[in-house]
Amino acid sequence: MFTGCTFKYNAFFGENVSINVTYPLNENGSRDMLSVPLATDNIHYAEILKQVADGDITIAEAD
Amino acid sequence: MAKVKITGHASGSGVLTITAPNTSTNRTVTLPDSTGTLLDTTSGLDATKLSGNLPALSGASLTNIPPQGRKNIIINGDFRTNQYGLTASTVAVTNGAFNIDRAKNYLVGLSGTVALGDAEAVNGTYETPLKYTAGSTASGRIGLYQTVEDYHLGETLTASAWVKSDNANARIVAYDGSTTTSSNTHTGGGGWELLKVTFSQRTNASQLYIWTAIISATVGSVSVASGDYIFITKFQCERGSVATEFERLTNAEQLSLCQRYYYLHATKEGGAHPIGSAAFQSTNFADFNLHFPTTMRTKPTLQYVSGTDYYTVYANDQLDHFSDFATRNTSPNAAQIYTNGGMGTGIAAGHAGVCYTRNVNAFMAFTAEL
Repeated sequence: MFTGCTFKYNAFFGENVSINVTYPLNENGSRDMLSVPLATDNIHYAEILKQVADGDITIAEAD
Repeated sequence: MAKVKITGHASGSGVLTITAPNTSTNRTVTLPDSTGTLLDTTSGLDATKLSGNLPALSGASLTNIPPQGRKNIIINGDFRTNQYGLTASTVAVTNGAFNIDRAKNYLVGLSGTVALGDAEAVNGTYETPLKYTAGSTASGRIGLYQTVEDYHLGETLTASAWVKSDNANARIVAYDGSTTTSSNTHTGGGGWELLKVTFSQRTNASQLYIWTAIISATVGSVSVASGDYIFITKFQCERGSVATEFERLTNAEQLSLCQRYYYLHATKEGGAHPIGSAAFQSTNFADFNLHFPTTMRTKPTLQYVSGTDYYTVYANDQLDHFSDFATRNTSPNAAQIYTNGGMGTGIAAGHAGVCYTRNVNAFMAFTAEL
């Protein structure tokens, strides 16, 4: 689901509110992007949590 | 003159009495001009004689009537709702991804493609089936499955689909988190065949997955050759133990059901597609609220394509292009999103504007799939 992706929290007034998922570049130079809410029944967030727990990915802190 | 003859029975001992009703009107009862026995309260009706126009019948005492109302718990089983934009052109299959609403690709051990097939007659109606084709020869699995949100705990369900395949392991398999139940298999003869399976959901079932795929009876791999195909349409699951005729919904009904799980907000097609009204919080930051047409299953993920100046906001009589969004607050009913960097033409805080796409590859969608 997240092959080659990078992950970064998105914060609002200092509180993390979503995770931006950046996919590798497409052939035309664009990128597929996700902005994932922190909701455990969201399948993207559940998969991110699983992969973090498995040590497969890390999530960068928000700017 | 025809005559009336009353004959006794040589063996019986009872006395039959013909009794007049309490009436003062003369009446004539005409006997049938055929051989047989007159109906009484213990007689059976000859079904072949039930013809012509029936009188109005009350259903108040009918029993064992099949469940009424919407019956198909598979959504988009005829693949007519197509927010993902799948066409007759083949695209590579990614396991677990969607190329058409509510049909999750299932691909293990193989490469493969998916496309919409040509419209053709399938058991009396014209359908546009979903077509999966293997791109390699191996032990593997290819097709689709749907995760059903309502498990229907403790109920007997029947899944069915019309399938065309050249592989004799094309089948339907239901899985409730513990038990798999397989349908009959396709003959592999290349024609349309009805596959169906009746199964019971445990009272503590944790899920309901239903595959229609080239797959084993236990969701394992089978022998697949490059070029093997499976066409699928009229995918249905209903309460009870009978596979009935496919339930056709209107386009509006089916789209609304699909939008609980996936909502395409701005298409990938050319031209400017509106995204929403924007409010500038600063010279390089605008945000806006989007409301979904249907309450989604959960807080959805925002999907979009990022590209240089793919999007723009028109405000204070000038355009401010940008490439990225992010979500702030999201609910199943709406999303509060904002431009995530890339702005800066000097539109001041407090201005309002309109946001829209400006590239053929730009698009925005929300997904709350299972």
